[in-house]
Amino acid sequence: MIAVAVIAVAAADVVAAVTELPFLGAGLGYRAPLRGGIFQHRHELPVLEIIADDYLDPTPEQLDELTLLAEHFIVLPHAIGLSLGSAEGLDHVYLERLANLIAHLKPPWWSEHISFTRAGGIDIGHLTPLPFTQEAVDTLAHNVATVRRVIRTPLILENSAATFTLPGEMDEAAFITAVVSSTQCGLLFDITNLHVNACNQGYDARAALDRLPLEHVVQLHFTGGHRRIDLEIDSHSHPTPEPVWTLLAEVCRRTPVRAAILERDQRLPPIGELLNEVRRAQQLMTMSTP
Amino acid sequence: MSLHALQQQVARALTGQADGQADSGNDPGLILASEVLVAKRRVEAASWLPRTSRTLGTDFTRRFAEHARSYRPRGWNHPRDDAIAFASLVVADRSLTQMIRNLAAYEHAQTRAAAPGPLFIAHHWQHDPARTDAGPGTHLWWRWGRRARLCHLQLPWG
Repeated sequence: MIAVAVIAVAAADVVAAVTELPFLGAGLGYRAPLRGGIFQHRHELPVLEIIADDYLDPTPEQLDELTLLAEHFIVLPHAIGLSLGSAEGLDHVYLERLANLIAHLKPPWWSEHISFTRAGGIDIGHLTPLPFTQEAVDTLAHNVATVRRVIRTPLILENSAATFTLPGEMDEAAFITAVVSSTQCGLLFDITNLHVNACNQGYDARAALDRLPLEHVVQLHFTGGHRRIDLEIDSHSHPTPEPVWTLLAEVCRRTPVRAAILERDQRLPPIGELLNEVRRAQQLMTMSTP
Repeated sequence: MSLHALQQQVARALTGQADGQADSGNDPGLILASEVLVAKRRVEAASWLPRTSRTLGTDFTRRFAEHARSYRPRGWNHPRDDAIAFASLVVADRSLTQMIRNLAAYEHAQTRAAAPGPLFIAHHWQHDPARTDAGPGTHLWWRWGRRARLCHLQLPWG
């Protein structure tokens, strides 16, 4: 009974922590080739997001880079390989190194995905969707509880994109709602992933917004992908398409959003083009700030 | 089927079985996800091996797809390990020109040198890929310990 009470108090703490998170504005996913442009325009970029996995076993040169970034920007670590949805549990070496990175950066929050990347000794190397089942929800909740014992900084969870779905018991909106409720995490709502999944699975993204737990949204992701064999692919390779901007505006209209990050990984354009997208997101976010 | 069993099945389908063949069944989404996974690995490898990938051009895509079917990277450093393994194949392929193999050897060494921990790498080239105007040369990379900085020295002789 005492253990249950302790868990309940911890969950309440997390909810309180999410609502007290700071408003950071719109920023950019940090990629090394963009370094010069990012520093040149640092006054327009209050926040950057780094891929945590790139810095889990850092060289002294990477530590210098992190220190420099943290001196000029708020840096949000975004993990990819923790595999929170793995039924076989977490990689504790990975978790320990992630905890070290977060302790070094002291961010207001950090993020991971509602997905798995590891199973049966295989590192898939890619975010893989979970089946929309209660067992998957329980697995995530168990793994998140393990993470919280090591990392006290608030964790927010991101909805993933998928070109396929696994047999489930509920739809994606119900699954995300159950995950947020069960883990008591904030939501990193990837607007592009919603758009991609809606196209691939044939549902109305705007209607799905009505059923998603938008009150838990802390941060947004947005970018553009490409289309292949009648399927949308979240390749982070193109400018943000208009349907994603429309959804982003709608989310900002409905709920306060604390940060929005443009995630561009492939076919990197000149920094000016990326800044134009960041400025547009910032304008939309001003509508959402209470 | 339990979540654990399902995840193992999906992981095997996406990354290929022990015989190197993908087992994605007839699900077009799963097949495409498997292809996307290889494409993602290729983009990451190209970022470590920019000149090798550019020089190979369209052949890079074909060669990397062959490599991806037989090599399964592990751990969170897998993009770097993947690039090193691919570059090794290019270096060893005698059907390729000496120039491309030199380039791959240089970027192979450079990628290895980006790893943390103590290292010492020495490599000699007939035509130095770092300087197209230079003849034979030797590059040395070293890092004495985990907290030591990477040093790089280029010697004008081999």
